[in-house]
Amino acid sequence: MTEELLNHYFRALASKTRRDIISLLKDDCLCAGDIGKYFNLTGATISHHLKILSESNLIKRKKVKQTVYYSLNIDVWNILIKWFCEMK
Amino acid sequence: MLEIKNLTKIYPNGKKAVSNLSMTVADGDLCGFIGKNGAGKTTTLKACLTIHDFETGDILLNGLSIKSAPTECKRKMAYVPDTPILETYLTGLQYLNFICDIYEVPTHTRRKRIDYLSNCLGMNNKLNDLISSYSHGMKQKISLIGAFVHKPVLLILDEPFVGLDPEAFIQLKRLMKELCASGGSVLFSSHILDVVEKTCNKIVIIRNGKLIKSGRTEDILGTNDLEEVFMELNGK
Amino acid sequence: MKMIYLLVKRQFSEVFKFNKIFHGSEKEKRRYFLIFSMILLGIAIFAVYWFRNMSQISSIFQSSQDILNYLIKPLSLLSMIVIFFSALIRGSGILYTDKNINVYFAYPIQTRDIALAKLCFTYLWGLIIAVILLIIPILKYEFSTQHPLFIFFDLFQLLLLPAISILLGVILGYVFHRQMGRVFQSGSCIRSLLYLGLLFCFIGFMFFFFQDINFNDLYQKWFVRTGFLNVLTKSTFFTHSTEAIIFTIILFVIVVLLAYYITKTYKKWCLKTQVIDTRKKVIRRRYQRKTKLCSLLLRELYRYFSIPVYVMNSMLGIIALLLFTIYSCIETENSLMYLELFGSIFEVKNISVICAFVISLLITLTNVTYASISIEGHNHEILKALPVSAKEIVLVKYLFHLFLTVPVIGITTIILGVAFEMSVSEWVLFFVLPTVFTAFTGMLGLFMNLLFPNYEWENVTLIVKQSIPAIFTVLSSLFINGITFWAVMYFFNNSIIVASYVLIGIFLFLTVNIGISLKWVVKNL
Repeated sequence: MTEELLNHYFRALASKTRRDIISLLKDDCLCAGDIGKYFNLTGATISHHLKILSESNLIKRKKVKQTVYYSLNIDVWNILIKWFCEMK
Repeated sequence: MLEIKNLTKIYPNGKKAVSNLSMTVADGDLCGFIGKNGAGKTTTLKACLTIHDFETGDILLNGLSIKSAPTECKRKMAYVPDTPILETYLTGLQYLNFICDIYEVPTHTRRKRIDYLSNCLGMNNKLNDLISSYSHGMKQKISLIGAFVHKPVLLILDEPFVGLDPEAFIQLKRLMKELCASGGSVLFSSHILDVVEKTCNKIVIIRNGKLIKSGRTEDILGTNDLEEVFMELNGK
Repeated sequence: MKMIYLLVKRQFSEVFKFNKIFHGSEKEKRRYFLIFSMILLGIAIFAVYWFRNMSQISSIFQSSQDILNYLIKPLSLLSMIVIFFSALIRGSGILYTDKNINVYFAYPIQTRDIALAKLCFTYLWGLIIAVILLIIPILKYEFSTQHPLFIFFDLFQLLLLPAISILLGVILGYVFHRQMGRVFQSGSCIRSLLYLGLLFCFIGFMFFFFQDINFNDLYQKWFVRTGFLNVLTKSTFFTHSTEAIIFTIILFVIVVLLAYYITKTYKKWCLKTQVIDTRKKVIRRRYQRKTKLCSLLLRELYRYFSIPVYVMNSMLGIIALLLFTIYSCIETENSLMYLELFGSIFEVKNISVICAFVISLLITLTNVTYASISIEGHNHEILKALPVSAKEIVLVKYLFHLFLTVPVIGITTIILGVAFEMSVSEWVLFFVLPTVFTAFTGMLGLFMNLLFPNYEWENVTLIVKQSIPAIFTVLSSLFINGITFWAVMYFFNNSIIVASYVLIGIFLFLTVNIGISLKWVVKNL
């Protein structure tokens, strides 16, 4: 786990909206439209947050025909949890 | 044969450019069309090609009316304006090929004709250059080649000698005579009375849109030269 | 000086056509008065907006040093670059490709005065750019520094800034023109393709890369860490130091020397520009016969690509479409996300239909018919003299529009159909919907141009950008298409595919009707 990666992850988490998106994806994988329904934000803003989360690898995307589904990237989250545990 | 019958053309500002003009240009005629500036020469020539509409009268080419069958008539005509307006974005050859396609000139014929005419008028080395790089005289020559290439039945030229070098001047007179000898006819307007007098077998003189004199050259001239006749007819 | 003033005044008169208002016909007076009024109104609105924004931005900075480092220096560099490129492209043209220059050489006017007048005219344009960009920050800077007397010195530097860019741009523009004379010859298609390529790269850059640029990093790299620029900007413009004074004097001397060089070589370079080397290679002549329709279409194609402003203005839609297609191929998931988010506003789940709407809107920006009749100019009389009917002429112009747009729609359909894994019915809709829309906008443009033709134009920009058919067709196409799509997505979100096919039928019907009504306006040809 490099420092650069950690910066990446924590920068991605440094937004309430993005943390809320992660909470949504905890239980289910959703498409962008369904995610957008939970927030009173424009599509451009939602896409901006999703882009940051995707680029940081905290969430992963899966294209099924013409819909892209987002879900948590368990591997990265496990690494983060392990890092937190090492801090304890 | 071109027949203009009682042609009247009034511009939107009310000016009567041509008034009740009647004239004919028979097959084989090399007809000079002369008059002062603003007499109505260009208007008449343009009306023959449906560039301008006209109020009354009719224009017939070999019995076919230009109003009822414009495309059929124009297929047998060619026009060269006083200021060469050409497709500057084409090369000379591309322009000539375009004209040949419009007039449906077969491939082998057009090759021969273009080569022959470009040699006559000294444009042989210029055909692959863009028309935008041509001088005024060269543009005039390309326009003339485009007019002669499909051997029209009637050739209409508006001041064709302007901008031509002496050799091209002579060649143009020869080509016009050649066309008339093969059964076609030429109607051209010019301010160079000397050329009209020596080249044409028929002369038409107009003033203020009205015909004032028309007939065979020898009949019009009598014992005078064309300059004297022209000045006399214009009241000078 | 009097001669230079007279020549500059003449140049202004030629470019801005003031005489049309005072001495033109009634129709021309009205038209130019309207155009000038609209331009002045636009400039006034822009000026208020711009200077207000610049003032707000300048007040963000606390110290004069911050204004200098973060605002004035970057804007100086920007203005120099913009002025340089405009002098390279336009400025050298104003100096060396004036069609009437031989007449001026024949007058009893010194060549030096002719050259200086043209340079002054070009310089004024550069000065306007520099003033627009820099005047507010410089005034804020001056009021916040401890050296109020330097304001005159800084204003002198502001006057000097465009001069060096203009002079270098003009010289390089001339060299460029001489080297690439054939390419930039009037009527050459290569120039249009070059500009098109530049436009494509610029829009692609703005679309794909601009948002990811970290301007802070860039500033640090260029202004702080780079030795050369650091030296250049550290003690030069507007810094109120002794080095700045010395540098300004050196620059002033260079400007004077360059201006002298240009005036000395002016006549020789003008004459050299007039002689374009003819082809040295013998090109095989082609005499192949084509049908009348094919020949007329080819003529349209050559003419279209020989007019850069026509190409640049009308290709925007195709460029945007191609960039959208490329983006959707490279970043399919991102593209689908954006489309889905847009669809979610109207609760439309079908991405292909939304994408088809987007394609249709983009392709609406490409329309050549609104200027295709007027662009004949005086040539329309010659066209009338040919054995070509008005119907054939109009058909060719319409076919040319379709020839430009439909193949692009086809390519886009194939590529996006594969990328988005569309079904057969979606592929059909994806192709037919934009095709029908482009057919509709093309017919509308043709109708408007036949209704309001203008064959007396002197500058093609007038009919391509500023004519009634151009403005009306573009705005109404976008409005009609936009409103239609909104209505379909809002009211028929549950049966959008069926609604889209009905829409196709409606627009096809409208297109045919406008086509039939062309017979009432074709007399204007």
